[in-house]
Amino acid sequence: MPNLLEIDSVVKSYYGRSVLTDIYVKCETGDILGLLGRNGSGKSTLLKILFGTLSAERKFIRIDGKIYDQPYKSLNEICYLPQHSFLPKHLNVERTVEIYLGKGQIAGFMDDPVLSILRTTKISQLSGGELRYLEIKMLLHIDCKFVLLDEPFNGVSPILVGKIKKIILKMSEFKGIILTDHDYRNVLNVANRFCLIYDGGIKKINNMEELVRWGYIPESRIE
Amino acid sequence: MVRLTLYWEFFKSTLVFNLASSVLLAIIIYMALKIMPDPPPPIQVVYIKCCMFGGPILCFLYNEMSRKEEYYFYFNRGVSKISLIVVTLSTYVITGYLLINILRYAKLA
Repeated sequence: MPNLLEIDSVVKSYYGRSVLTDIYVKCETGDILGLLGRNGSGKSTLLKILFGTLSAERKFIRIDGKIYDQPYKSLNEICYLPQHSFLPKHLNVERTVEIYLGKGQIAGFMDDPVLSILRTTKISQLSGGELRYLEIKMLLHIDCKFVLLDEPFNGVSPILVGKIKKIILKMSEFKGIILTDHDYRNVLNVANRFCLIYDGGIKKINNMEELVRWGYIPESRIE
Repeated sequence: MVRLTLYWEFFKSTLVFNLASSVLLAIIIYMALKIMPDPPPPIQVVYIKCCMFGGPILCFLYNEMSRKEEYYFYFNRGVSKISLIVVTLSTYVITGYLLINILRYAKLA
């Protein structure tokens, strides 16, 4: 049975400036929801509110009909990839995977040309792209219903971007995924539903022309 | 079990910083206590007390300023920041209390 995540009536302001006004977002198992928006439009804020680590003036979060205040505190409901690396620097790759996925899954998880040579490498010694790839792959392999990815393609080489997109597509069979990135081409490429945060509200996007109309991309970018 | 492992990993991540910063803190406090009229407690007791309170608090402040994102490692497995801090601080306080009593019993302090 597919799972359903809903966030409703989100109101958030910073120092009197309204960032999100009465937002509603829905995500089901199988959805890859691409969340677009200009810098400072509130994409990361919305994801953090949804995850439960940022408070809001008003919000209602429901997962499968059950209301949550801080969904992250309930194991196996929701995972979040922040913009910056979050893995502790003192651990090595294998130990990190062991903690997150358990000993039994290490072999299968590490059977990957990128990760197999990094088994004993410390997190602090990984390159930015390797680190991002490891974080995303781990989060998508955790047994949870929804994954929020904040700028997953940032600082990642094209080869790894391709691999990340493949994993996202594969794991979306079992999870609902919400992702946001300024590399909108990759978002448009991998997501199956799109929304734009504009002026504190949310707009459903059906085609590239709508992105131009809302002033997210210049007309010259449409091919 | 996963949560226990996470608490342990967080505790370990604070250990080096705590032990090192407590050395400095203990020296400063010991010097300050020496100028007081009452004789100061042995320096090893001052050091352990620093490891119980001052060191961990400095470490949490350091985490808050420069390693804030690492908390998401624990959040993603359902462990909150407040529970990490409470468990870690409790571990230091209990261990420190036991160590001070062992030292007293062995008449080393």
